[in-house]
Amino acid sequence: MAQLEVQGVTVRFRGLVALDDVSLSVSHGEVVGLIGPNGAGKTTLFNSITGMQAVSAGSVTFEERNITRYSADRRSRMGIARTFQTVQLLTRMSAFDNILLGCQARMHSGLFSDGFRLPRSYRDEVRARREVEDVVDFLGIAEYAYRGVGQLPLGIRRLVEIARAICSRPKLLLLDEAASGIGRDETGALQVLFRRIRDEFDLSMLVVEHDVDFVLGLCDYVYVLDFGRLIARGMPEDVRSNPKVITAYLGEPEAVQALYDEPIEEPEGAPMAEDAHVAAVG
Amino acid sequence: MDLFVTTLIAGFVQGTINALLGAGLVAVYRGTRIINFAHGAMAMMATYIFVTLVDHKAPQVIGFPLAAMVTAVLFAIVLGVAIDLMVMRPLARQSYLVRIIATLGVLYTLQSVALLLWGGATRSVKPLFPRGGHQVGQITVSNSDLGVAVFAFGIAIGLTLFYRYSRFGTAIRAVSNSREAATLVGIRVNWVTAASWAIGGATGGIAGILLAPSLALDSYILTLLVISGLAAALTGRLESLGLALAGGIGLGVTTSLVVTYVGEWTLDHPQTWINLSHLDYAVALAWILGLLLIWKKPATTQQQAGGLLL
Amino acid sequence: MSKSPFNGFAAEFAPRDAVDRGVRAVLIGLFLMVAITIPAHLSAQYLDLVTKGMAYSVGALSLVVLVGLVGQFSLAQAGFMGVGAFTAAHLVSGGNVPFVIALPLGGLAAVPVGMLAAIPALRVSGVYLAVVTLSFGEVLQKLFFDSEYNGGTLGHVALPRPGALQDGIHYFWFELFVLMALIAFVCMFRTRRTGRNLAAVRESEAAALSVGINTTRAKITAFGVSAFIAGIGGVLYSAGSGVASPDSFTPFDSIALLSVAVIGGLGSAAGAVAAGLFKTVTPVFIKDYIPFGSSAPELAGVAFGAGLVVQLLTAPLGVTSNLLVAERRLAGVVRFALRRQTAHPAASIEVIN
Repeated sequence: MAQLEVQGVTVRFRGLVALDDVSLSVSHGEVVGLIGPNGAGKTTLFNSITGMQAVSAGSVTFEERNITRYSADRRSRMGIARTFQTVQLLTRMSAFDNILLGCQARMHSGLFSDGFRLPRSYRDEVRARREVEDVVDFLGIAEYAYRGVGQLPLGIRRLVEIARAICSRPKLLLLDEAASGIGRDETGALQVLFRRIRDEFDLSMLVVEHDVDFVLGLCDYVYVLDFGRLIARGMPEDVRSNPKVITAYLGEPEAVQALYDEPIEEPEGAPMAEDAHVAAVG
Repeated sequence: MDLFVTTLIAGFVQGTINALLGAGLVAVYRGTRIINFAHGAMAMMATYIFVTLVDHKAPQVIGFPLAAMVTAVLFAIVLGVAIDLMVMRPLARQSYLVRIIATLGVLYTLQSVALLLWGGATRSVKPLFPRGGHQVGQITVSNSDLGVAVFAFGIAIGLTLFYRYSRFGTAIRAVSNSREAATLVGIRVNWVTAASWAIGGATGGIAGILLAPSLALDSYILTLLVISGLAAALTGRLESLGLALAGGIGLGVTTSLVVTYVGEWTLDHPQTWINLSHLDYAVALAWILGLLLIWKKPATTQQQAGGLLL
Repeated sequence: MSKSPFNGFAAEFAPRDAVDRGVRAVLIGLFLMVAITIPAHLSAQYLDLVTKGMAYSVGALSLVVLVGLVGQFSLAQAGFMGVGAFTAAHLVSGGNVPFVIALPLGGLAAVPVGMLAAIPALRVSGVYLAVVTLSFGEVLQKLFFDSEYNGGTLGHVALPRPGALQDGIHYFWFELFVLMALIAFVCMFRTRRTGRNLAAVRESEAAALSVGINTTRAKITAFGVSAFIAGIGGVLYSAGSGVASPDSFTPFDSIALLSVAVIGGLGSAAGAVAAGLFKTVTPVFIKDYIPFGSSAPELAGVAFGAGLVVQLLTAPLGVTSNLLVAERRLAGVVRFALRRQTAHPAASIEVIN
């Protein structure tokens, strides 16, 4: 059985069906992509898997345990970590302190050991800080670590969020639009980084991405959502040529370009601006 | 059986006041998205002004102190609009919590002003309506009860109908949904806001004046009327005037029943560790808690995260 | 998503380097020197006010924990204070328990009550919490504090101070010590795991959940700690006047506490100290410098309420936010001076060369 099994998940908001009978699975060590146009229900599916959205029907199984009714924090402690489409960081704190949050659940000090600064609190703190330093070095964001998160560019903030997720030592990492806010020329480096994360921390990944090209280049297996339904699944090459997928994406030149792998002429001097891209996604 | 019926009637009368208070809170909430903690304090000020005017022999109409009442309600309207203009509008861009705390500041200020002007002593108030009553079967309904209930419930229902069917009601609904959109279709949002505060002030003032004779003139008690008003308003999630009226009546009747029967019980079983003569406060709390329990817990999504918002 | 402006602004001003820490240590030292020496020279009446103010600071600290650290909201703080006060009063005058033991027990007695008030916070937040806690505080006061057991509506329970603390100034020093100890406790856990848990719940519940933080537990913990501190404050307040009486712990006292806490600043412990100071100084000031000062308490009430509104209109972070900015500037000046000092020898060497 796969590490994560989503079976027939349906989510309704007051009559509106956000997810309709969606099934998906992620095996250990796999990088699985989830693509679909805006409003397809990708983030809702993420919320269902992480427990931030109750499902109307269906089940979520993680490592052979049915976690459909588990609370979000419990799922996280079981090893499901995530990042958010709209970055959820504590803006008044440094990047380092934000990443430290990832270690919280594995720390043991409580109110009293922290309030009286008992040795247990000290030991915990030192160990957690060392772990964070390692992760920060691994992701190459050491120079930003002690800056306030609010001032960092979006791309770095996304990396900080990934670092925080990694620090909770997940077995499955869910990345929501992690590549947006990062320059188009750097997406290749990001793909390499994601694979390194998978190998180094021995985890599986479920990646939601707007940028189809990015997902098809990164993932071992891809699911395509449209209007809350799975319309296609398969190896990246198969998905790329799937007519249903092309139809779903038609009208989005970016996606069409990715699917046909033919460069569309861009006016000279007006490259796809990073900000514009971010704005479109966020 | 008699006790039961009289208790029900007393509860209904009290309930109409709750309903009127709740309606005022809903009016302010729908126009401004603010829970006005100073609602009771505004009512309290109006009541004090009313009583002061009556003391100074304000002219009466057929034995009814109409002039004093109109003046006091006008004062409450001015007070409501003043709060809107001087406090709420400058805070419009501040976070939700700041604006709520500001209404607490207004509450505290008004309460202190009342203490300053009229002192802290509790005093009784002359009944509004002529003495006597009507015999219905074996039950006597006093004129006072009848007058209060008709007055309060009439105004509350009138307000509900007004909100549902008038142009103003439509404008309120538009503003309630989206201030920006309302502005775009030419609704003067600022006027709607001010009018909401005025309606809040007026209904609150009337409720206070109606209630004072049966309660007592006490700035403390009147200010905290906001709690029963909130309990009523929350019944309709602060949105529905109809449900707020029903909630007010329901709360009044429940309170009356609980207080009467527990009171009977304590005659035989006196309790020293708890003061059961103030059980009405506990009923209001239980009512609010019950409502919060019934409401579905919203899902934790990214948009809703962030602590202190609703 | 707009966040409360009260939340943890002090985090921005957390000491970063040795200079910051040095400046803060010097300022705290100065404050303590003033706080310890000045009251000894006050008249008995003013000393009494300062003593009350110190208890209010403890109460305001409980709000700082709740609003500033976790972003929850409570209008039942005076209720928690009352629970502490009456518990301690009954223990001391009924059970002959020594005051110094009754003090923490009073705080502990408020903890379960606070946790009870936290239960609605698990389902709703913000304004609904305000409604519930206001009502909760009212019930505590009307039904329980006002009971016959506590002497009836106009009654009270004696809470005598032990012999060593009979003297006003000694008691003041004792209060100061307790306040500082509580502040130290709060500041200690604030920068460690517990504090980060609370901050995560405050800033983004989604983020907190995503890293496995049990938000329910965090909220209940915060309410518990807050109630404990408030309970201690209540004991100190009542012991200052010698009696625990129901009319000291009304919802209006909760609102008054909130008012001064907002004026002081809900984001930092310094705000709590400032809040107590306000509560103290305002009536005195009004009495001495305002023409019809005979109604000082009522006028002070007007001042607190109006002050709260004005504070929100001008600077919702409270007066301490300005103090913290000033502190940072001071640290900047010190840093500049230090740099010049170290730069000088280097410059002179260059000249010689």
